[in-house]
Amino acid sequence: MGESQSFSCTVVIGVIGADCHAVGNKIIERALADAGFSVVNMGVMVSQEEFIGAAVETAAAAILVSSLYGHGEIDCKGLREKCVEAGIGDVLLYVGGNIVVGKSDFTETAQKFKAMGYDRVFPPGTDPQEGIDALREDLGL
Amino acid sequence: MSSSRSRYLLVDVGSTFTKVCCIDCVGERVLAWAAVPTTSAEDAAERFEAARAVIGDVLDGDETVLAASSAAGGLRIAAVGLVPELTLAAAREAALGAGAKITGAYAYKLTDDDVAEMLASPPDMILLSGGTDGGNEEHILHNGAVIAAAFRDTPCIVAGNRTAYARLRGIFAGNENALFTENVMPSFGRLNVDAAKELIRECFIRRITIAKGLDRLSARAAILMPTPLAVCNAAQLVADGVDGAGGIGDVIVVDIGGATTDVCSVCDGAPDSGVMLKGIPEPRVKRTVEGDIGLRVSLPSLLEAMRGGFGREAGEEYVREWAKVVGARPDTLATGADELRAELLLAGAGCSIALTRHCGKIETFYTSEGRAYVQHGKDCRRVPALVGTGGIMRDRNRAAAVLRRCASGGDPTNLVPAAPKPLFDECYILWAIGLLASEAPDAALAIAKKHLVPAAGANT
Repeated sequence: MGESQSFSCTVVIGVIGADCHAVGNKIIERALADAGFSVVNMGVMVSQEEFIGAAVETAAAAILVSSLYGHGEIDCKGLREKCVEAGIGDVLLYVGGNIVVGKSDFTETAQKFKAMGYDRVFPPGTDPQEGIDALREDLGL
Repeated sequence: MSSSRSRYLLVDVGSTFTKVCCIDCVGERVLAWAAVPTTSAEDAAERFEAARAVIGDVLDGDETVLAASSAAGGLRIAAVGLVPELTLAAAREAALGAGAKITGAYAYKLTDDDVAEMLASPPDMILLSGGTDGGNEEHILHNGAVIAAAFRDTPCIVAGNRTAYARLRGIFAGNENALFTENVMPSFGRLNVDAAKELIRECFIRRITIAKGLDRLSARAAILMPTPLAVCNAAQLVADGVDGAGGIGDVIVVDIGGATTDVCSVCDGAPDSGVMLKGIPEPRVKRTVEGDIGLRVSLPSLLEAMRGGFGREAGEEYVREWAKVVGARPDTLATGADELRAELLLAGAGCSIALTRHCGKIETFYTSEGRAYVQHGKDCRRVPALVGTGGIMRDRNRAAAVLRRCASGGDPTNLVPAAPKPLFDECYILWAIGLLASEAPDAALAIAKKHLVPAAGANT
């Protein structure tokens, strides 16, 4: 069945909800792959169920959800609960992008998403390297 | 690799009919053809002899005999996978593509109820998948253990996460019914069904034919594959040719019978630029089978399926009369204008429904950037040829009447062929072409092209 192959750490990424923004998604994919992660890029307009199905099949260590159009809160809510139901309750969940609506300050937004079960919340304009460093820290790599 | 001989006798052991076809490879022609109805008293070898006797005077006894079988319910496979839309879907594609009937499809971890269901309707084989390579091991290990304990005598094709194989071999230790092959979804979103399909076929030949009482036949014929696989192989040969040359291009074959309707598409079906594909990418050679669409045994369920899109037609008096006649005597033939009209209407509706279920769909979403298009399955709109096969397709006008109903009917979300050239299998030999292709592909292709004829006729 072939030689043994070591599998690097798998991360599932994608843009959630009815959102077509693709450029940032490609940049994140590239940065993670260059950093040695095995990236499963679900693309854009991804539903929660699709993120979870991919994470379950690939035994992913983390799901990185991007949201850029301001409805992030509605789309992102409930993901942690679904992970628990799907048997991957311990998976790392990160969210980032343009997830602030209006003029609320970011700390409030971050708290809201943390309460929804996200381990880390990243503001708009975050450098992908920051996400990579966070992954390495959280996964002990 | 066998060398090709000059004459072949091809046989299809079906549950309703046994067909034989004698082919001269050198002259590239069909010498004789016969079909005899099956009676349950006979075994496959007797049925073969009865059919052979009908064309006896054409045979010289020197023919190489190849057989396909759909006897004893055909090849029955239970598919086990992880996420329904992912590895379980990939396993189903492998099993269907191998010509099997899927008796059950089980996701996540097998439960006691799942096992009870499988024991109540025992499959000939189990196809076990789950996890990408290097991914989830927990589920396939759990399911492997359940299968090893409850289905010791059932061949189990393991086609899942290969990092779990060492432990799975331990779980199945000493059980020579467990056969290992490549993962049907080795990395996320990548379908890899050919290795599993081939192992299923080999297992069918080595083990299942004995179990199905085909062993006496195997003394007289090389039983190569389940019948639906022969039809798919023919479709692929006709589309792609031999070594990439001589094919007619992408093709969809619709095979409508008494009990089921099979559809086999040979096309990539990739989305147009700007359209997103969701779900697993479907295989280039894709087979579906509709167990509720048929013109005899399944006529009641066909009428049921016709509600909605074909509801008005299903309610017509002459259609309902014909359904009663068929219900009383399933082996009846349509006689008279009304009965024939009913039969053709039902066949057209059935093919249309089967084709719609087989082909992909496109959905429109409204986003902050405007419309976005999402496709599931294969885009078959530009497939240039639609081939009809099956008893009803043996007549040019009838085939035309049936295939005409399969056009898209203006529904833009339905990715069926938009304007295909309708062809029909005038000698009902596609199954034979598929068998012959394994040994004499050039002759098989030449004969197929001679006998796949454009269907055109007066409007009915």
